[in-house]
Amino acid sequence: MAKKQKSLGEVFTAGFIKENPVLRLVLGTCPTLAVSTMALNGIGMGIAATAVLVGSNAVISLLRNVIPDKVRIPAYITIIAGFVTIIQMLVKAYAPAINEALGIYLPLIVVNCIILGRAESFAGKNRVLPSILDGLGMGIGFTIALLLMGSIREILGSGTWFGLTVNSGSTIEPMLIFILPPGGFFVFGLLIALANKIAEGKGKEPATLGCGGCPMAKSCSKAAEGGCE
Amino acid sequence: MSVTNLVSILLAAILTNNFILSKFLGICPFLGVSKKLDTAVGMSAAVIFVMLIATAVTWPIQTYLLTPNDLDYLQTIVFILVIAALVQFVEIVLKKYMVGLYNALGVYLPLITTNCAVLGVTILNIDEKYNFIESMVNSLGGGLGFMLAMVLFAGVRGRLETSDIPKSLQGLPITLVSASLVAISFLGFQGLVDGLFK
Amino acid sequence: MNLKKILVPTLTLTVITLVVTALLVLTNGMTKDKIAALELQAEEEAKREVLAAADDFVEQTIMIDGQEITYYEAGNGVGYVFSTSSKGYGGAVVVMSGITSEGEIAGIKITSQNETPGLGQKALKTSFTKQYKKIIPDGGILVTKSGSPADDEIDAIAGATITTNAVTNAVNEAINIYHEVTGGGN
Repeated sequence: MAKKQKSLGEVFTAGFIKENPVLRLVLGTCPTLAVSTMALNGIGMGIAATAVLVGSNAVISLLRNVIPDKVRIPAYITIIAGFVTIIQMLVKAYAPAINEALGIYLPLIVVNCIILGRAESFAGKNRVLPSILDGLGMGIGFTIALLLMGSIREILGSGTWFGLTVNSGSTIEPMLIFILPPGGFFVFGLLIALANKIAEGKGKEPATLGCGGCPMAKSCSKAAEGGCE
Repeated sequence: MSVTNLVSILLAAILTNNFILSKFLGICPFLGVSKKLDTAVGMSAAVIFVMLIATAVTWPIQTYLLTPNDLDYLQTIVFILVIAALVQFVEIVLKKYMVGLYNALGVYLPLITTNCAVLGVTILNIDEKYNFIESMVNSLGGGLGFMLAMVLFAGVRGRLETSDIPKSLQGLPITLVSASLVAISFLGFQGLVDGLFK
Repeated sequence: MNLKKILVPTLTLTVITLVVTALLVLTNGMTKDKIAALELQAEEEAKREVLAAADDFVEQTIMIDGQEITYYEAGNGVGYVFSTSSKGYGGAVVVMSGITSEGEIAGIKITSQNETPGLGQKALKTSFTKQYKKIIPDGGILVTKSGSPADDEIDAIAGATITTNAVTNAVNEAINIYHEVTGGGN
């Protein structure tokens, strides 16, 4: 019993840091860059994505022996799209401010590779409880990354954190560029460099954007030839 | 719906609202496939192709099927399924009847299906309330902007190959930092489109 | 045999799609009214905010350039409320403007936008929107970056000219409709 608990715990916490979906697995880059202009937006997106992730992982795991391999991807996409739309409707009804803040990036959770990626690499092959924990852990990891990037960009770019003024510009003026697209790329790159450095210290591989991270890898003929490079 | 209007939509999509460098749509293929010029061009061509046919199919579906029947909430799921089916179908047709074209861009098609760039542009067209022609122009611009960013970036990455980069920045980090510099240059286009047309 | 290989996957997929769609229809039914009520409530609140002296609002329409424009007239005659939009950085910026019968902008409120957080979204702050509370200038409202706006100008948000222009254009359009409604210049 104790051994089983440990591996469930490991499944749960893997997504936080060791296998952080954004900084280590390099999944979900689009929403990360787009939504991390403010720490608060990061939390909103993180919660929405986690809800979809847990739901879709659970259902896909439940149906893993029923979904034929051939229509695997379309089936996963349908289920994920269903969850995203339901979350969208619930958010519009009960938290409209989040809907305004996330804009188009809420429906785009459908093609967030984290969700499709976890469905493909975990939920499709594991039992329901581990899948739920994996979804939760990856979602939390995603939120952590969003929070980190969002905070850095908000503090450096607007001088606020969660809307509260942190740097009124008396010593260093907030640098607008950080909340603009170039700032997003820049902070993201440096964060991955940092994560790589820490990983190197622990003897792990640096993060790469190879075909491994792409959920379509199995059906992609390019991947079979040896990579997207 | 004058020509000036269409040209301004086109230029905005390519330059000021560049899908990759401003809107962050299509980052995965951008970072993953932009290493060599020929793959960059092949991928971009595939993206333009898919964006155009996806728009051509999703716009009428939204306008004549979903909205009149109050089914707007089905947009996400219908769009993504239509795109997935369409790409699959196109891939089969290309493989059988247009082998040359298939060899050039067919292999990138699965990568694009689940890509935010394509779903993004189809949703954007509806959000911006563009009519059919405007939507097609916007998608064309989006794809061309994608190609522009990819090709420029392939050039930058080519240079990076021969540069001396600190260990932890090697690979993905330096690519992202370079992308940020290219993005800054695109910021310069901000006033251009408005200035030309106002 | 070949038929079975195609039939089973297709059927499974179809069933999944139908179940998901059914769930969506269900959720839509549950949330639809709440969403509509929320939108109506937000609109009412916005109208009261931009024209506080009004008691209630009556919906009116007017034909301008072949298009039917809807606006709201205060029941007690203190003024009108217009909802106009203009293209901002991230899409349409929708502004609600309250204009008194004496030709003064009582207030504006941005009801929908998709501008950059921390930059264009600074337009949502009262310190920005209160600039528009002024007597309608003859040539409409102009934008300046000088930091000291004249009577017919408002000061742009540093680094967010596009958003500033969008809001100003929307307000100017409201002013135009106001002139049409009241039948002539002020």
